Amino acid sequence: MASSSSSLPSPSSSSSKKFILRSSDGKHFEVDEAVALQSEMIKQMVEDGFGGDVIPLLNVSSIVLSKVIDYCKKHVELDFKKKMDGDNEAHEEIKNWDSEYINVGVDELYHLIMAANYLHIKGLLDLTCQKVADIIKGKQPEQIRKIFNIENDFTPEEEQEIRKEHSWAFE
Amino acid sequence: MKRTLMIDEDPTVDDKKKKNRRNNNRSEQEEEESSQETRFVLLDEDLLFEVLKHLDAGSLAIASSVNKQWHWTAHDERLWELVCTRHWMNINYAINSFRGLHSHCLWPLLKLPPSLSLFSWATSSSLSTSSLSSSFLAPVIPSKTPVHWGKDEIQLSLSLLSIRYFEKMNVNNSGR
Repeated sequence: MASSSSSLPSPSSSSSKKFILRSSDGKHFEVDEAVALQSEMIKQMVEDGFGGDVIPLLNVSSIVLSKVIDYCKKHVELDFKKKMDGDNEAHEEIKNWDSEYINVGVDELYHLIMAANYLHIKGLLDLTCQKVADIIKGKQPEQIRKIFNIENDFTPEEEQEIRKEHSWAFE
Repeated sequence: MKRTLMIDEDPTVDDKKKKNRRNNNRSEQEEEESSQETRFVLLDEDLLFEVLKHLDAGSLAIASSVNKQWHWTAHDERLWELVCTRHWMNINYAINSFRGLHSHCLWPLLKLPPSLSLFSWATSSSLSTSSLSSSFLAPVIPSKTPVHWGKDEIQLSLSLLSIRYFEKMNVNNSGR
């Protein structure tokens, strides 16, 4: 069994090209090319002829980077599976894995959004923004401000006016 | 015996209370710390837009009263276009056939007396253009005799209803 599965082309095969990513706190992460290229930012760098051994990611700490790499690895694997096994099953697996993965606190969510944005990983950005939207849904403005520590810069009159404008939503 | 029991009980209750209090304090602290750190979480306008893209109409309207930046961002037409398209897709999905369209939308409409019909709801509460629209819509609503609705009639009546609806939205917005 093992030999037959290893003979299949695999996204994580050891022969593929490797990239080394360096986090803001100086830690190195070796990843497969396919994993690194999940990031549009890295893809662009490579296409533009970046020739160095190590790709420095100045805005991403090692803790966040390792979590981001988890995402990219899994999605390379699942994309590959999708091609092999057909859409439906893999689609369900991606959905389940994503919802488990994104089950994090507001803090971690924030760092993931920033990293996904910086690295241009569209899937991860969508996933994290969807999660923030899910947190917002059904909450009142006061609750939203508290969760994200947002200052209310409306005057009481302005706020009343805006609430009046959207009174249907507050009913 | 009684005394000892009471003495025994009291400290445990106290301890528990203290523990609870301590736990509460800790969780409050943690919450505060996390919110301190995420102070700038959604201050980036593009990222806020990305988040708001995932909201339904009600949540989007409520989000617009969080602060000025949210208000401004949540008023982006593209977000409301998304809300409308999603809504329209849901309607299409739910109806999925002319039979469904009839039973969901037209039959309830035809059953109502003219004064309570959807069209009169759409026209009665509007301001300046109500008489114009009523005269537009009047021939389409059969009050007594049943009318056979062709594909064109249905599309026309839905278009008129949509136009009416958007007009109503504009009247509301510009009035304030």
